[in-house]
Amino acid sequence: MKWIGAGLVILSGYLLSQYLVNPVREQIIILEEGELLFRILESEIRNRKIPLPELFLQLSRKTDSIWGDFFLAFSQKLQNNTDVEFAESFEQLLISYTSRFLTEEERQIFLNVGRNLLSDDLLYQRKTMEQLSVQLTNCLEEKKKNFLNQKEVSRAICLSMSALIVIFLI
Amino acid sequence: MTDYRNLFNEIAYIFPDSIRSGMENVMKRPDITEIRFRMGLPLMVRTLAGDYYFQRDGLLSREDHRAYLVSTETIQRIFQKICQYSVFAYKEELKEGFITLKGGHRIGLCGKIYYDAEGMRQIQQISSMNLRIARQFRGCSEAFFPFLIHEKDFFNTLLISPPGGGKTTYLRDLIRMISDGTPDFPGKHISVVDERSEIGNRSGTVEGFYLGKRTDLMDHCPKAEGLLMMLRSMGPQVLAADEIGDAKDIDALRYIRNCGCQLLMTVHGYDLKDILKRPFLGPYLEQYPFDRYVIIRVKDGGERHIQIYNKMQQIVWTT
Repeated sequence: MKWIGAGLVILSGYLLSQYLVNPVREQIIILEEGELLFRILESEIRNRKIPLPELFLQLSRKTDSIWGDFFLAFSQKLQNNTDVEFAESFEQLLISYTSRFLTEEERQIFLNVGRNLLSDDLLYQRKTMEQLSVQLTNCLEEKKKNFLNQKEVSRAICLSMSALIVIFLI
Repeated sequence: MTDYRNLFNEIAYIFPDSIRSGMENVMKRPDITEIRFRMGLPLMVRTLAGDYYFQRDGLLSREDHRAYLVSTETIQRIFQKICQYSVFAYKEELKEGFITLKGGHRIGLCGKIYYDAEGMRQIQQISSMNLRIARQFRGCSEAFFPFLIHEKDFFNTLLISPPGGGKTTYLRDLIRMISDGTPDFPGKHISVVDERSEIGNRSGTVEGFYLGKRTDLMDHCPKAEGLLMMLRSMGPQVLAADEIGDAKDIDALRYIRNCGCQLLMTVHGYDLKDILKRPFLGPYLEQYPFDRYVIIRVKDGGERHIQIYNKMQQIVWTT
């Protein structure tokens, strides 16, 4: 029984370490997904030339994450019978939906992506999207590196604490 | 009342908040034909009874001292809305200088022309817009339809009128009557080439205007190509198109003229003498005259005056 109990304490320590780094994991998933969705958006614009409100609606159906909610809300806003400043609305909704997950720098990159969507020069739009995609990828790599480090540290601390508890109890 | 509500719902979204409710009042007039936006100038509404200036409260006046002035911001907002914030999606339409909205309403654009990286003509710095209201008036051609048929056949017919004369409205009704038939005329299979999406108003999956049970419609297709495609694939008994006149259209007409189907076409012009002077159409008509020419004129007060001539240029009917 003692050993089972010890095992459970160690396991709890491991799970706690996972839980502590979960927010960072979520941020990475959201950033990765955002980068992918906007690349898909740029490709759809270039190949199918569908107006943005409809494209946003289609994109919102491709994901269950906050990006789905963001694109749905934006699509609905653009189709309302009210005056809408595209860039301003994009920024407001982006902050509203992603402030928990993105840093200021990452949000600024997505804002530039949004402004780029308004360009009618598709060649320029593509080139700009490629550059912004590189910036996002760099942010992602940085974040993943930090995440791995954090995960190791968190695991080490939690497991150490668990081991200490086990020793103390035994 | 229902008609004005449908009309307003189709185009309300393009108006800025500042004038939308006023525009709802304006839409109640059944004789409204155009709404004109010119930067820095009073917003003008054109009706069959003449031109009026729009006031913010939705009233129309012959005087301009209380008229709503169209600002740069108004033009920009309307342009963003008609393009759905996606100019890239409307490059083909912008090349032609207009965009067709849901409902078949056409908004013409004026501004600065430039050529993009792909060499396509585009418009920027929009300075004025002309929103032409499209309506379906079923039965508007019933009075003169019997003079366009002979027993079970439809005559090759050309509708002629100046811009804003109602050619497309009459064309739409004639297509419907040819397709559905009348007690004296069996319905015919009619193929329509709708280059600007104005005749049928088919946008996406929306049905648009009713054009008859035997009508096939090719939407957003250049006329010359569309006429040949329809001839080869849809087995039409009648072919219809709007605003013919350029060299490609005439080449297509030469090809299809002796292919066993009848034609229903329209052209901009004042009268027959006017269109016979056209560089491509004139020689074509000398060689292949239409059986019937329907001349439409707009009198003061907006009433239409219609005259029908046969191929010998003799009058066969008049209002």
